[in-house]
Amino acid sequence: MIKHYFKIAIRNLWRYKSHTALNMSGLVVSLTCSLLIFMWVQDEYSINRFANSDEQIYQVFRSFPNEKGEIMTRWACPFPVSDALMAEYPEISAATSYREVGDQSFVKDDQTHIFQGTMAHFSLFEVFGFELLEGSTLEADKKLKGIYISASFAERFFGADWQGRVLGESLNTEGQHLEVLGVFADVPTNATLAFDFVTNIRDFAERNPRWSRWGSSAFATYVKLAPKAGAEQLAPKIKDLVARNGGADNLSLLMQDFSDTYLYGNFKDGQVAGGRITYVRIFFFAALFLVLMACINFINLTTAHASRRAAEVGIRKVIGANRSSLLGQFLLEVGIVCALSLGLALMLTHQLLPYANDLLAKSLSLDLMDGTFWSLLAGISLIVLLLAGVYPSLMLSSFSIVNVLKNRLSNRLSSANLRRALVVVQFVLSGLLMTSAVIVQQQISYIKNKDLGFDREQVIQLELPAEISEHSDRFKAQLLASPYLESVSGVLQAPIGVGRATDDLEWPGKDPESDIRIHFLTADKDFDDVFKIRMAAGVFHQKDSASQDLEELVINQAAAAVMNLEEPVGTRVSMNDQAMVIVGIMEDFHTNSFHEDIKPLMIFNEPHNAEEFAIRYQADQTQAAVAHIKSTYAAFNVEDPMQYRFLDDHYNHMYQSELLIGKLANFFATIALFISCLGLLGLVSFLAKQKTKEIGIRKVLGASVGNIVALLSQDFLRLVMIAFVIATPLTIYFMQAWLDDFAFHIDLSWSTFLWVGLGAVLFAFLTVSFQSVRAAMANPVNSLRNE
Amino acid sequence: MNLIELKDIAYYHRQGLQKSWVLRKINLDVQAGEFVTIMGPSGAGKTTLLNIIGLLDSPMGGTYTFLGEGLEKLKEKQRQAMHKEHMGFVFQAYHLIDELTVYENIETPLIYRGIKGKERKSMVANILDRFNIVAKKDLFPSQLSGGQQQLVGVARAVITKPKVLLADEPTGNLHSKQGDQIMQLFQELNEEGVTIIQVTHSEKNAQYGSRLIELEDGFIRKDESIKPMSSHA
Repeated sequence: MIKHYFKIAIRNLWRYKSHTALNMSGLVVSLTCSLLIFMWVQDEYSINRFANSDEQIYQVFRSFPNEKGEIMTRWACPFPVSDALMAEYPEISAATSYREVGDQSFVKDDQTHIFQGTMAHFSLFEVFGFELLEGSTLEADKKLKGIYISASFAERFFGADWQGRVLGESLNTEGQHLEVLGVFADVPTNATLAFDFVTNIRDFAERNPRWSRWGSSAFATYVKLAPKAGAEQLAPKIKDLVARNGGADNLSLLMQDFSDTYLYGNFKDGQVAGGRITYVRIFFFAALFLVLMACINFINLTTAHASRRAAEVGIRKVIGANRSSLLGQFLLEVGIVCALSLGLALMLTHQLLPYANDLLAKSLSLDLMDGTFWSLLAGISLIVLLLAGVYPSLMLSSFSIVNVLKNRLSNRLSSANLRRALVVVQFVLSGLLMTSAVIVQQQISYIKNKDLGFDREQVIQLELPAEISEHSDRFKAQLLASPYLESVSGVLQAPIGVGRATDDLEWPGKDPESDIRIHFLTADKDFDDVFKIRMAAGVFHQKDSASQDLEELVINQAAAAVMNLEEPVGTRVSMNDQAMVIVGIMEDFHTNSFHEDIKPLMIFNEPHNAEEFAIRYQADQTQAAVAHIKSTYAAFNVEDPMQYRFLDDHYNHMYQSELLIGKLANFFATIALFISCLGLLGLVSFLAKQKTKEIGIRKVLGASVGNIVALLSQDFLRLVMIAFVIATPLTIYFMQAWLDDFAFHIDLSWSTFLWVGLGAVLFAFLTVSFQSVRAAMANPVNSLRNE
Repeated sequence: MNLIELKDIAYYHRQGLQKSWVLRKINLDVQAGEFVTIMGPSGAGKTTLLNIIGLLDSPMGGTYTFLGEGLEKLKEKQRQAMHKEHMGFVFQAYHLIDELTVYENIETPLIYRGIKGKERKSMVANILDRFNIVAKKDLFPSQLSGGQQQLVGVARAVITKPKVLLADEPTGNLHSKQGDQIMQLFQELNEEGVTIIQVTHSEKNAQYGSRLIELEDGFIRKDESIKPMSSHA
């Protein structure tokens, strides 16, 4: 019996090739997309959920009210927090401060190896349960010049047979000699922590006392709770830890389960308020939508073609088939189509994976041995089979013999109303996706084009190695010798993603109770030339070096506003006993992403505290500029390779997730429109076939091609318009919520909806007329003769 | 015992509040082994009567007794079972399944009756042989002439060895020579004991039967025995 069904299913699919092709291409496209997205979602969920992370690992955050009284939550905590947590609370079994140091070069036998690293307390390994292959952490914290390296570090640096001969070795890096204390198994790739070596954070703290006090926050903090300790009971106890130790009074600590830190990274009012999970959810549902849309196509096309199969159903019933065997037959047919589509989708997924990885910045792979992957596949297949298979099969198998044989299969059976409703659902979904995609693009283009208050074009950021820092004046002079380079400024960091802030600044009339935090940068006097910032009052830094007695200070308008000074320029202020004078007020410029308001900012004049150079070069001279910088750099005999990036790229990097959303939204919208139009095409060609005779008669009676096209199209176009009317408020609801997450955003405009709506109607019309024009052009004699 | 007993069979279509009568008070007994021809003008209710006899449709009134069993009391499932066991159908438009070959078309009713593969094979082989269509067994209906298609249709109808063969204008789409061939086949089957009830417009086809019934406006106007034309004439 099965063999029999199988045979007839294949023959039927083959016979109605175009129908099958329409059905399958929709399914294959949507299955491929949703497979890719589901893989992405699965990957996102796996991040920070590695083997040991289900144990009680927590990250500590600090919360504080900002100028407006909103509670801000940041990952950066004061350095002493981890030690204090460890000392005061028996519930905490291990704690570490953590700060990634980026790429660092290690020299061996005149060969330079670059590794990415971090500094931390060596209890790091205990907190995260990272396995030590060699060495131990016992008493290790006291060895300030100690280093732990990963297995792959050891292998690359010492060779494949590193075992047993690396402990106690001395590593030469950036002018320091560090002793290898241990080798750890590579950090899992699905962790947000990424490092190949760990240096002692206490060493850094001793060398940088300004960073390591209770008053400054610059370190991530992770703790591991004792087996029976409850995070909920502990949370209220650690809240005021900083205040009790002489830090800011309004600063409180909170904890978040480490495995949640990646997806739930946003805080509001000191509570977790979503984060990346929103996008993961959105795209999970978008992928489900695509599957749903393909299923709708499947239902529509199958029920529309039901009349073709009706005769067969009638005959089979006459010769003895009962309903369940017919049901089985049709379900098997759907099953075959699903299986074929799934197979094709898998192949397509395999082919597209490299591009998807590129787009999503992931390294997903199709692992056919993975059980989760197969259960995912089974789940999708089951959904498709249920959605697309059951209804049409029930309907087909329900035809009554007499009606079929008497050719009394009326339109009633073609369930036209259901199809209409499903077409509306489809276009609501694609309308929602399309309008959202356009709005996301508008916001992205707003981000890219809005005047930030500084010029981010034609600026190169160059990291300064120790060898150059010592001679930064000479280096700067040699750079400026090139006609391609316009100006150079040594800065602590570029004004992108500024997070350093202090509440130590004192000014006349400051409310002693207030804890106003002011963000800060350090720069030299050429900062304003490089970044082309505008002064609202006074001047930018003038002096070549920080003067001991009276340092220059420049603030922005936002800072001037919170400081509430009558005549800011010339006002004397102080910080940590250093006297300063405000020499100028800058017009506000964006130092952080558009998600955040412009914050009070001050710039210290500290030319010799530069960690990087910002270099402005002439337009269209990028290559010449980079070449000159490289040769100058080489002349200083630096061991490390030169590391630089373009400010513009750096800026765009800040909007990584928005750019990703933008790309994905475009992609989804296109696929959704494609699938919807595919379904429309199938329905119209069915309608044209069904109405062949009517069209013929109308033409004989004098109807024009236009009349006929209208006859076939208007119903569908009306559905598309209804769909847009429904989609619009939904889109407004979702996209307003998305936009509200930005402190600076575009306003939703009616014209967007109008244009996208018109576009969709136009697309639908083109699709429909593709078929209807052909039907309308046919010679009526032919269609009437067929009868 | 009569094979088929129809008493006061009535059938109508509803058109709004009005009933449009198709059959009124049909009384008809058919013995096993008869070859009955039903004739009458278009719309006289011939096909409806045939469908009722074949258990494809239910009358609104009257009683139908088949093999001594009152069918009104049967549930839908049991009626289907009766239909499956005792009835064979032949249609004017052949109604073969386009996607199946000749062989598979004939085999399908056996599949639905749960007959095992081996037995199926020999049954189909026998009938192909008997109807002289062995050479066509792997062709699809669209590759056959009308006469050949109807031959397959008859083969499919009789392979389950039904008690009654119901034929609705079996030669209506055929030219006369093919038609004669089918009618001769019917006569042979009848001689072997199959009860046949056919609906036709053709006087000539009626000559093959042993009894002629004329329907008009839902009533039986005439019911007479005739001397069947010799099949070897």
